[in-house]
Amino acid sequence: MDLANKDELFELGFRTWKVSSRNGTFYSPIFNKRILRYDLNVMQPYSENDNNSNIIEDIIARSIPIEINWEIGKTIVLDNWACLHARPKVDETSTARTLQRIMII
Amino acid sequence: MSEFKSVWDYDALWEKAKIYAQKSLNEEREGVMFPFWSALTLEFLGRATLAKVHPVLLADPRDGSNILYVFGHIKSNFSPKSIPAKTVFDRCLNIVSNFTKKEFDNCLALIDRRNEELHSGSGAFEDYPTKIWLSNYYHVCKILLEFQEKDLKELFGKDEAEAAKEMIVEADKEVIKEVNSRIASYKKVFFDLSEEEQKEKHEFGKTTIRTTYIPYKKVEKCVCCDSDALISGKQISATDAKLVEGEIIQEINVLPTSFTCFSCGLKFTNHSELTVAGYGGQYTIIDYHDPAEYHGIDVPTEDFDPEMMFDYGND
Repeated sequence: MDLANKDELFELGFRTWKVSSRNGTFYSPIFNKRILRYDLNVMQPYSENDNNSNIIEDIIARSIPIEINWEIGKTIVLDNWACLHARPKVDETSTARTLQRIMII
Repeated sequence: MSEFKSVWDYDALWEKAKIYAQKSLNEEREGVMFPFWSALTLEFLGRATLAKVHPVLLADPRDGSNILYVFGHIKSNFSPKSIPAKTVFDRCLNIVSNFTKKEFDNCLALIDRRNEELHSGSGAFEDYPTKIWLSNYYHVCKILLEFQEKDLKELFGKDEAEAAKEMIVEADKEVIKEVNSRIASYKKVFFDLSEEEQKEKHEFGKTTIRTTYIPYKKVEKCVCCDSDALISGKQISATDAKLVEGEIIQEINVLPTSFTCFSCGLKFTNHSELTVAGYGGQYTIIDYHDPAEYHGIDVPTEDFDPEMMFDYGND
């Protein structure tokens, strides 16, 4: 969020979105206390006035994404609440992807 | 194990307060829904204030299960109960240093009307002009926001926050004295006139208002001579233009900043003076737009022949 100016940061923290989660729906801005949350599969603006997706899309367009090329043995640790992360578009027929999750307490 | 978040989590209550604040700002200022949504905003702001200290402050202590719930110990089929609004503000009295009995009373004034609206058949927010409550409401919001290390614009947005700041500036004793003295002296001059002269002044005031154009104008009775007088102000916000019964209209919310009575000559020149005189608060005006002008359509007039129009369809 170093790329965002003061007005953009304010807008991203001010407008409210509805977020669907396993535990139900809750309300959140896109940027709140260092947590960045933006996934249109599970989020929608609370009202028309709250739709500030153009701002975050603009910031994303200005950013230089860090590409990760996975290799056997490679491990990356990142704070997935503070980093927006995505994978490139995949083919509909592609099935070669496995996600495994562990929790370190 | 992920951290348990109760329904009284600070972030959740804060977002609710923001949602209700935005709902309120979409309403006409002198309508009934503006104070209604504002009452909910205030309640959630109060609850968020307590949750900022700890969510357990919102648990109804009459049932220990509510307290256990806050710490993640949940019975099956349990529905957590929270303290009522009055208790929320009573706790704010103890916790927020500059939240005094005066702020408590101002909160209860709005909350009691909300309760009356929801639990009775009466129109609790009818005849409840913004000049009575809005300035106090913004003042309380500012205090609770500061406790949460936030400011007015984070709840109301930049435009409304600017208007709120202007409304919160309390008239000092000198302003109150000056305004009351001005009203008294203009009143003496006006009512020293003969009845005939007073009537002429009333008529002159009415005519002048009809022929005076100033932006955002509103007509009110003069506190001095009871003639029609003119109030104007500055725009706080405006709704998007909409089509209503074939006309394009926009609702503009205005902060009153000037008062002129053309009958007795009484004038006020800032919001503080207007508030002391009883003309504070905010108001909404409807702005009408010519459809062609609004959409930037150039309606050609050079080739227009009215004779053609009258003959149309008569061949």
